[in-house]
Amino acid sequence: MSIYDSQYLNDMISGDRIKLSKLLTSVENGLSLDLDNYLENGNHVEKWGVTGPPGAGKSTLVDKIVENRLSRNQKVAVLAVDPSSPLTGGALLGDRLRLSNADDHESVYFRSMSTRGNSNAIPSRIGSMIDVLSVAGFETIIVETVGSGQAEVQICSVADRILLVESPISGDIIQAEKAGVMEISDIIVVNKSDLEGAEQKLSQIRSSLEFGNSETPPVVLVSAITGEGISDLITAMDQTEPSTKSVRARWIARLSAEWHSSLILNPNYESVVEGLCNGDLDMKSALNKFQRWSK
Amino acid sequence: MLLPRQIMADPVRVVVAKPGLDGHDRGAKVVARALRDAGYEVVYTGLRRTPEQIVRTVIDEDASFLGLSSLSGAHIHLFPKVCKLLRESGLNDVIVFGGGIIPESDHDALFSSGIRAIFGPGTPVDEILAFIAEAIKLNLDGDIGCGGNSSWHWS
Repeated sequence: MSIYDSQYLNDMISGDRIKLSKLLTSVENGLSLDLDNYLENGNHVEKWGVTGPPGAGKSTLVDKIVENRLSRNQKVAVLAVDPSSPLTGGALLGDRLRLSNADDHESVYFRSMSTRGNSNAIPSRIGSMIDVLSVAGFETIIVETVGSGQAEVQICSVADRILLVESPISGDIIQAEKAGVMEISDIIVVNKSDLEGAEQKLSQIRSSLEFGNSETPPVVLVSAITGEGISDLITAMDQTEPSTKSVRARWIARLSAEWHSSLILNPNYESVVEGLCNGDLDMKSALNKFQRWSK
Repeated sequence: MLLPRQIMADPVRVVVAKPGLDGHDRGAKVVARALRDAGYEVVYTGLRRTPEQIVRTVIDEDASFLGLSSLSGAHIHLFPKVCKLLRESGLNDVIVFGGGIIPESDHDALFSSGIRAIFGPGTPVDEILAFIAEAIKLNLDGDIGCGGNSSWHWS
């Protein structure tokens, strides 16, 4: 059966996992779907973005959140993003091995994703993949980012609730402030409370938040390994509404993600990059080509 | 309702898995890394996966290749079991290859269970890449997946 058959979507909605996977692949590879008719009742889907520096324990924490959703008999999906090699475009996707719940439950769907050369941390197709998962009936959808760089703010273009994960070993809090991630976070988690320096990190973050004049998000101390503080985090998550703050930042991120997506999916993208590489095009004429196409 | 869109060649996804009670994963990691460097999207499962968990990973990740690594001696039980579960799940077109400590005398049994290549210690990475390239070329009609009719195997 072809993906273009409406029966295909119906099979997927009634739980055909292979069809779901194949559809996600097609969407990731650039297929455009009009799912508006199916998405009408998707408003209650919680779309969480989990971000934070590498090694902060995002995957292990996501595992705990998945566990909680399972205990509520919810369907939960995770999209875990790892970087692609800038040289070959290949990628080693290893987040799955931290998810003890990923392979054993019918209600958990876990998909590893590469950034596919997208310099932004959020792959451009991820918003459409989230739509597919919403249509497939997942009630909590978690996007775990590569956890590096200042483009992390882009997570808010696809997630409506942002969880920032920090840890005592994740360097200076100034990094997070610089990136602007703290401003858009709905909850800040200090993970690895079993390690020394966690309390100190917590107070650093709290005092840094006091300098701002906006409403401050809750800061929660947890240990994803031991489970300490996880119930506080779940309570904080339950109290989080889809974010209404940083509306401007969200729309800018959404716009730029769409822009980026239409750029790299442009059929002539490769030839323009080629032209730039071998000197046939200069930057000005390359940009001109895209302007001509967009009309 | 649906609008197709042509783009450049889609990346090939490969799952590298460690079935059973076997803690040796250097080989699996070397292969995973080499495949990544060759431009593939590689998902590594981590150690001690059951055949059921591996099949679930292949389904969720929509992989077209599955590499199984075993150094524990249980390959003759585990590899065919994975192939059988893949077929039962309807994943007949997934191409499965194996590696690790696998005696020559077991090769034929594994080939007839649906494994398309077996790589022992010291195999140059280029050989594995050549196998994958050849398998992609041959598998256009799904014939050399774990449920395919072809008797082809890499030699």
